[in-house]
Amino acid sequence: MTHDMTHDPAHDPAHDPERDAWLTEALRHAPDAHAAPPAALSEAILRQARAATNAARAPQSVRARSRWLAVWDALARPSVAAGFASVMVATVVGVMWWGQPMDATIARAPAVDATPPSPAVDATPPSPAVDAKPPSPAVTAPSQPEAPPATPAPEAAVKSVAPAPPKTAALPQRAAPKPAPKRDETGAAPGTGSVSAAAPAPRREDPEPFADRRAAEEAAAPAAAPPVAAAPAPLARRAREPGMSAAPQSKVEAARDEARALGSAGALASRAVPRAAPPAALRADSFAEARPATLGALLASIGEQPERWAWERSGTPRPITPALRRWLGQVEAATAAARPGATTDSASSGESAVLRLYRDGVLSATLRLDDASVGLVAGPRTALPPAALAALKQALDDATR
Amino acid sequence: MLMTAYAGGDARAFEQLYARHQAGLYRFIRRLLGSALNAQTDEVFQDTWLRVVHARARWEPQGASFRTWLFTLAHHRVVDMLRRSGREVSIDAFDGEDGAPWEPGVNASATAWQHWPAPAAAASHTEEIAFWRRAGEKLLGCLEQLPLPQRSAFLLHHDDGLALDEVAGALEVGFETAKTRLRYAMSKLRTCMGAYLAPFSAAGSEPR
Repeated sequence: MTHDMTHDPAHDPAHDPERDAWLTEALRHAPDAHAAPPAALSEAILRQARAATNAARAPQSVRARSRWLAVWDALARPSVAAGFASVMVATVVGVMWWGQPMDATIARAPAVDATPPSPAVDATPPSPAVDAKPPSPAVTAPSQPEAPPATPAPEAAVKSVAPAPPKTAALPQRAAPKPAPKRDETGAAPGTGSVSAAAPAPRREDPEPFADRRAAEEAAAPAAAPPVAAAPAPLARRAREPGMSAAPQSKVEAARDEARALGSAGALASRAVPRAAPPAALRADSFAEARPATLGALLASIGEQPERWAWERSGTPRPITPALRRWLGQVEAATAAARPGATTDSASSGESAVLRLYRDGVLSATLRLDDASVGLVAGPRTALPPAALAALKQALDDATR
Repeated sequence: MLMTAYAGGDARAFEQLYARHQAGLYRFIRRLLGSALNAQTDEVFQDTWLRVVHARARWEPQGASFRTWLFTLAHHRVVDMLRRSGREVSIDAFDGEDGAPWEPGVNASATAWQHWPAPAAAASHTEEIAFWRRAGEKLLGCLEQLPLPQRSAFLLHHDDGLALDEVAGALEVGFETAKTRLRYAMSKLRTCMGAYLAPFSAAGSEPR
């Protein structure tokens, strides 16, 4: 469109031969020489020009705003909103549980089941003293203490002083076991020759009752070896340590440990808890509502909520103490270790010691210890050797002093 | 520069552009449209400026000045308006009344124009002004007789002061084409004006 005229004189605007001064002058004096657009028209044009520049700036802010609106719209969609709400709920729940241990029983459950039974507990072999001794009511235990003693354990189980179910392995895991290979003279494989192999007999997890019982039996009957003399010392030590109660565990976990340590029923309860904690809790509650029919059930109930329990011997109920719970564990262990069929339905008419147990102020169980047997008033009684009974009485006196 | 500033969002730059070119553009459009479409001047004028506003983002000064571009837009709008009004718009630069190409030496009226008399030097100032006003009126009438290409070339060259190359650029034609259109226009205008100014041929002088 444009032409370079720098080299062509004819194209040089300075030498424009076509410009006519006469015509230019005539144009300059033409009537419309001073014509100008109306002021309104000029204002309208300028206004539109300014509006165009303002509109050019506006889209930037509108674009930024529309970005937020798009995000908001995306969040407002039901699917996204539901997902976001789920994440928020999960976050709130997670924060609520922050710092609190997970249900310890859930984590321990596989370990309990996976650990092979230790010969020290599950198949605690009878000591030479026990083996040398003929089967007596003191060392015979029913296969199912909670159940009616109708099924006697096999002979191998009779030799087993400390019957334990084959699945019990919590004790060896928690405390370094003290193997007692010398006691396994029957040659029975761990967990197979014990009473627990035939029936879910209560486990022996707390060495304390056995330690006490061993002391009692050693004092009373030197011929009979303590059934769980080989129980792990660390656990016994741990059970004795008052600091254990102050261990950094939750209250529930501590109660479960106590229950597990105190007796077979506690062990059963704790074994049930890992698999289904809420049902176990429900069972425990319903269990506590009714009167415990067996010592195991009683121990389990006390182990779950010991603060709700009290004992009474001389008229004034007092809060249950760990010593008394250990004594109850002793009793339960002794009755479990008793020869099958050594149960009796009648109490002796001689001198007896009575221990009443209250739950929430309501009499829940009465334990009678006479000179021939021991057991709950409403439940079956187990005949024990006089020496064992004497030791239990002494221990009861000590625990309730 | 101003147009670039306006394209960047500076509204004041547009105001300066408008103040600088609005009078010449308005006059150019008015004279191109002629007396018959004089009422459309405002519309074409506004449309031209709005084209500038809307085309600001695409503005790229590639050799042509803003003024050249502005008059190009106005010329297009005028052509559109003339076509909408039902008038035949010839874009042939050689469309003359006789249909023959212009030749300076052959055109008889050109000779007469060269001797076009100016107002007498002794004439009074008032008479001189009156003379040029009548000349201006006559020239507007003569302009309307020109084809649009010649008219636009003459107006851009003589009224708005564009150089020939700028005229060619504004009309989007070649330099020679613009030059030829201009010569045709001047020849016809001289003939037209010479006949009108014959009674004043007393003494030849240049316009002051």
